[in-house]
Amino acid sequence: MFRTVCKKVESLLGAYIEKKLPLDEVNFVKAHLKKCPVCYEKYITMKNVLNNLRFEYEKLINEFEKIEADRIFNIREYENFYNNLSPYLDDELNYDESIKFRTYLLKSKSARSELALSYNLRNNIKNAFELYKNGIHPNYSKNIINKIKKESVPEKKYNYAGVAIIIVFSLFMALLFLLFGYSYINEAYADNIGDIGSKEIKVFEIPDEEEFVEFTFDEQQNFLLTAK
Amino acid sequence: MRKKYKEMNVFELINEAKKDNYQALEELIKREQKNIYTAFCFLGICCENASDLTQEALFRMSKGIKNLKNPATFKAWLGQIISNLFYDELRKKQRRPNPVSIDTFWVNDGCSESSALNICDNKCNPDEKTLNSELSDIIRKLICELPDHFKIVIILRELQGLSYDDIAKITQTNVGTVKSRISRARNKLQESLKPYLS
Repeated sequence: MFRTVCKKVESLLGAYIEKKLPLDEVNFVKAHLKKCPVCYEKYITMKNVLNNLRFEYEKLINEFEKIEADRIFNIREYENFYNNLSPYLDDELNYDESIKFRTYLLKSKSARSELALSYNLRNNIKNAFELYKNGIHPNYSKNIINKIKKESVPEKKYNYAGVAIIIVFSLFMALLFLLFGYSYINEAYADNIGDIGSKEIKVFEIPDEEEFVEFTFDEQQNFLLTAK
Repeated sequence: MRKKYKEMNVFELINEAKKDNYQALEELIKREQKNIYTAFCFLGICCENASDLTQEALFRMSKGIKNLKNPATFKAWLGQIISNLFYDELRKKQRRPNPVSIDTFWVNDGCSESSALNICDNKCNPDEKTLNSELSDIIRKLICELPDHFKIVIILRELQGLSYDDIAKITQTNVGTVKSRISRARNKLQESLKPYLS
């Protein structure tokens, strides 16, 4: 009887320590622990073990979180470095960023080797440009200068003064014509009339048709017109 | 007289060229033509088109130099001309196919394979052609293979030596975009150059 109760309590101990038992069973276990020293001892050791376990677990979790945070921080720092690498080469970073960049360079060896690699690449690209430039001999200068000169010829400024003088002169002439031209023509017309008037006008008198012409028909009935 | 212009600073030359001084303009063209030609070649434009475009760029430069207010912005302005011409050329490319050079001929059995005629190149001695030049050829090909946005950015930066702000203005993007494009272009180049550099 006694053993069976002990066994039952023992099976319930774990749940009791974690406080997951219904109320009547909690009371039952409490009452038994007060009575039975063997079970009480078991209870104490079990409690200690569980507490230790929990403590260790929390410690581990904390450590892991710390490491993870460090790792993420490192990744972020590295990403920052990686993004700033080419602006740093071009000297386009502002003061704060360049200081951050340099401190990171001092910290990590891989960063330094990466910087050296990108310097190398940049030099190679520049060399490629220079080599290519030395290999070609374009000569467009004369061609283009000629083209420019040709284009600039029609753009020469007109002699506006000359044009103005011509326009003024023609206007002046037109004015003269308006003022005196008509009167001159009128005078000439009047002179002509005068001339005609002064001469004798011979008026030819047209004779009557009947006196002048005779209509006859010849033998073949042809119409004949004969003057008298 | 010529020597005088050869010793002149770029800014002085620009100021002289603004006053319709053709000799100064000629010297300026002589200084810039190689740069521009190289830029177009590295942008992946074939030789004939590159020389046409270079002439066009130089012509625009000499035509517009009178309207350039600040000589300090000359490089950026030139970069603008180059990038405009490059994008124009890209637009044209979509409409018409690439011109076929006479130097390439079609192999009889099909149109898929073509090879250049082996005409010897007397421009430079074989002694001068070291491993370095080989590497530079590879770099040129790799730059040509980059996407268009990366290409123009890296050439404006490395060849013309423009600042990020100027490049952002020319390509009509943010400075951040320019930054990321340059670094991505460099990373791509580095990755594809790894086997040659080791």
